Amino acid sequence: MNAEENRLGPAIRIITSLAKGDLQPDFPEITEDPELEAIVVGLQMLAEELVASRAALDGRTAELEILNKGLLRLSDLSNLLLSCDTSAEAYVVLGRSAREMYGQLSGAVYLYGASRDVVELVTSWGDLPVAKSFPPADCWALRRGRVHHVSASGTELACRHTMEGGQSSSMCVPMLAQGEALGVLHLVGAPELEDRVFTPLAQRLAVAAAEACALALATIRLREKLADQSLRDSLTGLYNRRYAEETLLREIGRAKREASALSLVMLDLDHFKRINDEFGHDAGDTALREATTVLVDNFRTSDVVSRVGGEEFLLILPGASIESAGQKIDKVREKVRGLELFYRGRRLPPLSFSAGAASFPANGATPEALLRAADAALYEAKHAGRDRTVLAGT
Amino acid sequence: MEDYLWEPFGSDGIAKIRYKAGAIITVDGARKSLMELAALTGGKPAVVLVDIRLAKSVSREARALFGEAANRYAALALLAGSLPTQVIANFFIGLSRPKVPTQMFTDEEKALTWLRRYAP
Repeated sequence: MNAEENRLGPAIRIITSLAKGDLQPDFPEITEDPELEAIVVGLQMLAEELVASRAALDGRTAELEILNKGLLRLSDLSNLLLSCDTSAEAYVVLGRSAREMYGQLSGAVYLYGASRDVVELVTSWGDLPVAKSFPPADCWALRRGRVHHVSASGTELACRHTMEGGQSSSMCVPMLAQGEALGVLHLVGAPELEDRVFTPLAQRLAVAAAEACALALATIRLREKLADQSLRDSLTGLYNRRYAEETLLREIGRAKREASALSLVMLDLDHFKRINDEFGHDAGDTALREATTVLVDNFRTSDVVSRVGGEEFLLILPGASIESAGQKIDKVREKVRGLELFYRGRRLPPLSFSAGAASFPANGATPEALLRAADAALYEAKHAGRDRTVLAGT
Repeated sequence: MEDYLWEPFGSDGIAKIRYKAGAIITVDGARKSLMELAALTGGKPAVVLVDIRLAKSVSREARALFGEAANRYAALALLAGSLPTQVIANFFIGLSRPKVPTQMFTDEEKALTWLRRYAP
């Protein structure tokens, strides 16, 4: 080894270590040789830059992996949600997917109630307690229409609906679709995670997730609304003939399977034409709506009350015998008769109705046969002087 | 005891910081010196001479911090002496890439002349 090689030995050893991938070798202190010292200082700085670059690259790679996983989950979630037929089904999917995406956090999804003065819990996960519902004004994200992040250090204003205390970082993400907030995604990191959870990337992913969910939910709700509109009578809000006939077929099938009772009632308001003729159609509509309210209020939610003609109603009463159906109808008759109706300050004549009841399978085993039997009983009630119920086969 | 000294502002409007012999410039020291600079200039970007001729080393974090704090300077002259300090200065300029005029000098007069072009 010559003198020059001997002199450059420390630098060569450093370069050899760097070449082997050891970016933090021993950097000797050189004091007597400024040129060699400059080389060693330069090598040390190069090594430091490499370490920093590698750390930055590793961090970026990890972030991209998180992003990739997040986007895949998001895509799965969107597909699943768009395959849902009902909001209820979507809430189940939403809850399960949110748990998968944010399993390391606690969280909750809230959606606006029908009145929009409260948001209600749809699903929640994790250990921390969550509010069942709260007014939208209690959430900064809903108030401002954008993400609200509260760090563990807690310098930001916390939403009033949060119950996690001041030690955790949390985030509320409004669920926006077509400019309207449907609800809010609330995420909370465990206190020991401090502020490491909600990185800018995690925040962007949460916004994307919330928007995807909101869009899917809005689509499902619109579909439900259109489907509902096609099955309802616009004046009274009752189900229409189409829905009643479909339901009757379904309920007959169930009554067969379960060997249970099923009754059908055809109901017609008496002398209704007289109200229309004397007081006008708006007065007639008022009377129809009032009678509808009495019907809806006095039957179970499992019963189907539908309007199948001008002043004609069809009631499907699963589990009810013809006798109990008759008794129920007579009670409702009393209430309808007791209605005091006014239209533009004028008192309308008292309402009454005739009804014909039939039951499965005694009066018919098919929808058509059952409807015919109920209709015949109704005709008989009308013919016998109205304001009464006739039970088929009696 | 700090391993640097600020020279009082002269009429040339140039802030001068001189590192003492053997100074090891850490991120904490860098942060402190930047705060002192802000106090000296009232937060306005300053024309600064940094004399590292006698410094021993500058940590990567300190270099990064000085690079990121470019909005504190209007111009920066690094005064180096020995080959190692020249390497340090060149590294800072080349890798930290401050967004303000920055240059290395080995002659103080030349550094001051260059800085005066940016002085208020």
